[in-house]
Amino acid sequence: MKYLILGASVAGINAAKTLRKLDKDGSITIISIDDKVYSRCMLHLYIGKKRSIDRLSFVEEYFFEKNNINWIKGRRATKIEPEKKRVVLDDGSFHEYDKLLIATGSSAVVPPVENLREGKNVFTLRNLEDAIAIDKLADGSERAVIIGGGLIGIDVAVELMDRGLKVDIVEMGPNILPMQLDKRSANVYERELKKRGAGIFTNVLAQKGVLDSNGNIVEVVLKDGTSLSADMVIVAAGVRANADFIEGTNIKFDRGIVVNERCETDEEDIYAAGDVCANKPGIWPLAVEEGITAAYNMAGLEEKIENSFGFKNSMSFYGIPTISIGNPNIDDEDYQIDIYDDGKVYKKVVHKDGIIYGAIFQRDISYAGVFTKIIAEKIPIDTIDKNIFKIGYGDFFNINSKGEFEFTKREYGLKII
Amino acid sequence: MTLNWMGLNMRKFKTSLYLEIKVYLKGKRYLKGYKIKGGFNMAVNVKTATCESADKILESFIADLDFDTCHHRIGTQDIKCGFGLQGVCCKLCANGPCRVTPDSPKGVCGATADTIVARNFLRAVSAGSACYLHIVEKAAWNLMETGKNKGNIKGKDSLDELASLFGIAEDDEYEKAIKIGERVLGDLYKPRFERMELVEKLTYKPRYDRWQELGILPGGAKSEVFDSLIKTSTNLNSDPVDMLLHALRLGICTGLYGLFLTNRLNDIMLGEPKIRLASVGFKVLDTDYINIMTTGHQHSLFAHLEEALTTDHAREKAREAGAKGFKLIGSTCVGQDMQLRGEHNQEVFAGHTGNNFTSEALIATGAIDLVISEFNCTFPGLESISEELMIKMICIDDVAKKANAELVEYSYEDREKISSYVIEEAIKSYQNRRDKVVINIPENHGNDNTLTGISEDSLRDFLGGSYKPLIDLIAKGYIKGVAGIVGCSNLVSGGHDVFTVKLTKELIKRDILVLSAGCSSGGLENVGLMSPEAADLAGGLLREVCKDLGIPPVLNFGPCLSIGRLEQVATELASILNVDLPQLPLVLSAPQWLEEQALADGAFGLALGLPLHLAKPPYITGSKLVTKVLTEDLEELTGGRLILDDDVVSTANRLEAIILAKRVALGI
Amino acid sequence: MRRIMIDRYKCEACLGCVLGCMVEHNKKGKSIYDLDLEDMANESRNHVEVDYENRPAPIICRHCEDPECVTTCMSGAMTKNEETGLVEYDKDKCASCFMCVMSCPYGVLKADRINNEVIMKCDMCSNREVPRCVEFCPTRALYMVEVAR
Repeated sequence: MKYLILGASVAGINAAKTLRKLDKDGSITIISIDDKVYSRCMLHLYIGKKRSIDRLSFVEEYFFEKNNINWIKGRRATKIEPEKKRVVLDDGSFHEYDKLLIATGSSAVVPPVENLREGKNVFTLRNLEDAIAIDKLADGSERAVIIGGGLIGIDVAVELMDRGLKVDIVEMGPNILPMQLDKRSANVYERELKKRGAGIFTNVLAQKGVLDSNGNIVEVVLKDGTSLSADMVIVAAGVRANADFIEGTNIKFDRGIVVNERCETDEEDIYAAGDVCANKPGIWPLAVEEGITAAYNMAGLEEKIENSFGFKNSMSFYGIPTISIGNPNIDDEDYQIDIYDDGKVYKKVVHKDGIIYGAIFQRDISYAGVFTKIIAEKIPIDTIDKNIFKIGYGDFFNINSKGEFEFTKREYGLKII
Repeated sequence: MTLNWMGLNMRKFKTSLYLEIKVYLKGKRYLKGYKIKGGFNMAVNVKTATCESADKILESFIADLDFDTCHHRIGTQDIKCGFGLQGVCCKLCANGPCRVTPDSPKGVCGATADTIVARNFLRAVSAGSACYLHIVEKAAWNLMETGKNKGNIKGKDSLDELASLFGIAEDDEYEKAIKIGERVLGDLYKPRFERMELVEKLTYKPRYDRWQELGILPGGAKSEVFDSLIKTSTNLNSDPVDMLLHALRLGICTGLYGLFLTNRLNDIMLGEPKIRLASVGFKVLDTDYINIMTTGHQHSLFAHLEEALTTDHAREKAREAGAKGFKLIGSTCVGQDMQLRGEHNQEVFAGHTGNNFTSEALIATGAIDLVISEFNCTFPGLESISEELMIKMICIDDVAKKANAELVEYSYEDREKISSYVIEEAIKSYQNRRDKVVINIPENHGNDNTLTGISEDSLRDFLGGSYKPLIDLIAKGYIKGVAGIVGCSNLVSGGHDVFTVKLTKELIKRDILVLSAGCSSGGLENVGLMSPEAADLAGGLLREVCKDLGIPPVLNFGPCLSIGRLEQVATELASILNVDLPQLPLVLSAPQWLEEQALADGAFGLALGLPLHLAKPPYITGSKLVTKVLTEDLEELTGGRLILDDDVVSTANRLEAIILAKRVALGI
Repeated sequence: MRRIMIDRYKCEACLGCVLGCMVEHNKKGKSIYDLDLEDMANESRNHVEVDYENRPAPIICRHCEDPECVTTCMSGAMTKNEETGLVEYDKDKCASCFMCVMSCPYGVLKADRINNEVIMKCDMCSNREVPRCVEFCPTRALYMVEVAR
């Protein structure tokens, strides 16, 4: 059996590892532009000089050798020929497959703001090369403007400030990290950032960049007229799937490759996993899950995505950890919001009819994983007569004969009094 | 114990596979909780269900018993609560139990680890102090009654000595006795704001001055206990240092009254100790006699019985029942007291069998017909064995009322009635049970040449009327120093008497003379360390001294009450040298302390300014402050300090180092 | 593989397992007397919860067959040792992203309380024959079993 995987990031690597576990003899080839395996979630740590390139890896040493995986680096697929069961690469070579996995991830997009795409000192942070470039330019820079106050934007902001740059953050939402946090929890980070000299501009869009004669943006002008001077600009405002090469196939594309729960595309023997897929948040755990699920199906074993819940994020800035699950910002009278707030630790749970839909845990995130499970699987909690913030696995405790934990089955809507 | 299981020798093992096995012993007991290692064609190691003892004959006797004893139960209680061990559990109020952890550094009320530990510690010390004060209180009442009824006064020297010390100018000995009793009780019953009058008379001058400077001279002893209970109740005192100073005050009450005066009052009523060789261990049991076992601490409660058992009438009754007579079988501290004064009661006192953790084994021999208890250490564990072996239990003081015992409260007035009743019940029990129970006495347990009868006075007499010769031996280096090995036995420091015996051997090897009082002496005598032959185990210099004098290197002062006698020895040594107690090359260790009483004794030792070693921390380590005050800062205050060490050699090293340092300071 | 079995009905919430864990992972020594209960640096990798009926339940890592903490780990710090079955944690690789804390469905994990950096993860007391939590359990609510994988 010939397995071909496009992409050597989290989905691709996990697929390859799983394939090797399931099929000791099959040939496994990975083709990637990347010539190193690294965790994209840690790229900002390279910028902050907290990790060397080696320490960005998420695989063990000699991973490819140990697992007998053929890795073709520095190449990209330009075309898939399903009828010939082969992939064409940018050097014109072909690679045949019995089973193909597309795990090419996504690329950052630069929004259509005047001069932003032209500016030589404008970066996104998606690949190692981006991190290396940002690191280089940061050395001679004093001011950076970050467009997009999401997780990546704040990650980069923190690291650049750590290196002594004056940073301004532009976010169109009402607060930074609007997808994950509410005002109260975002304020904590905004305060920490401001304390260290950051400028934070929320509810506002960037209107244009002002280029100097060298083609560098020296000033970012916002829609409200504010002008921010810049030596570098980081754009962290969304991504799109890397799937140009599927043109001409029957693979369905809708802001990402459309797959079923077995990670199959509409084209036979072609699978997709990770950020290249459509209609779901691009988070690490999901990419792992999809890589593994795809591998099972490629190896001929029926396997479905078990845990497709992607609305969960954890973060930690300045030693303050936060976990956000589901939608903690539901604005609807039918929902009940419970808050614990002692000025430091902040916890918020949004629920309705015994089902929790969203939660935030800040500063004390201990054992919060139980809420992820409860929210993802809509496990009813109305039979649990206790302080909602004290709910824990103990309330669902069940241990099987193998010593594994399971969740006690509870009847929906039945309140024990 | 070696068991044969599936035809394999289970002593040896060598593999790591492990199985859950239940081994049935004599169809009764199985060894739960012990992991048994082994593969298939392997030898399996089976541990006995009982713990180790320093006394190997006792150890195997207990291991083979069909009865449940402390030595068995320790294995079922081997997992200890860490909060308890560190003393940071508080259940003084309904919000408890509160436990100090890094997640919850304070109790609900706000009490810190320091407060919780100090409260728990003071409570324990005050309970222990209360026990000893009960003992001296009863002794004083009995002495007064003896005086009023012109009863038997055996220790006339002690009577005169105390009377003159107290400044009692009576000629009549009975009047003296009454006055002495009154003076003691008068102090015990004083309110807390009134200083006890005898403290100054009973205390070496430099010590008294130091206590006065520190403000720890006690008021009425019972009030001191009473107020310590108040202090440590819910949301009252939270000052650890204040509570620790209170503990020292209780230590002084305990030592001077509970220990020292109890001895002297008992000496008056029951006679002074005389040095002699005696038999110890289970070998003193003779099944031809009706055997009455004693447990407790109050020798004066047996004064009449000792006499009644030697009357012709009693002898006759015993013979009628088919026995040769009556024997009192010494057990625990009151047994030690009887042994100490054995010179005065040779006919019916059979000898001392052993200490606290020997008592269950003693009745399990089946040779005991009746148990009289009046205080601790009377284990509840005696109850089930006595039921099974049809042994009559009588308590003569309700503080030690056992669930299955008949309470016959002792009073001087009713002494004759009580003694008659005990005799009758003993005969009844003897007749009823002897043909129905199995008697099982271990062979060769104990010895016939334990040196006993040692007191501050008898030792002085032995040395020729002064402690000067002992000082000379110390000064010349034949004796490096003196260690008081006191306290109890427990089962957690290596097993029954294990630490005590090992430490004692380690100390005498280093030419340190050991004086012992308490259950520790029970353990030491049964393993032969208090026999003259034990000199061979001592270091060369000490051995020479022992051989010259014909004494063992470990001197038996008897019961824990005799810690008061050790203090007198220390005082005599200090006064000859004209120094204060902390300057003496003298250390204390209660290696296997068990009870709250031992902690009260310990508080006395610390008040005296002596270094005191304990192998198991007294539930204080959860408080850095309390631990620091007791183990370090106290040296600046009283001169004493606590040494916590659970390793024998390391302990011996530390104690020896202290002795050597003190010798240097004294210029010897 | 070896697993710590839990009989929750025997649990009396004495926190012995919590103490045992802190004792074993205390840098100052392995005796209970070495454990400074006021030192915030001493932290347990297990915990005891009380449920809605006030019944205690010891929560101790299962070293799952399909561990969520490993699936979600983006630094390679959390790995499943296929040989021993243990889920192992390498704090030097950890990037403190807390995805494992967020994803453990049984709420076993937490960050260290002082620096919020290191994950408090059961290591089955490395090579100890009996983990300290089991050893410290007075009711034997915790005991070791060998389970098929």
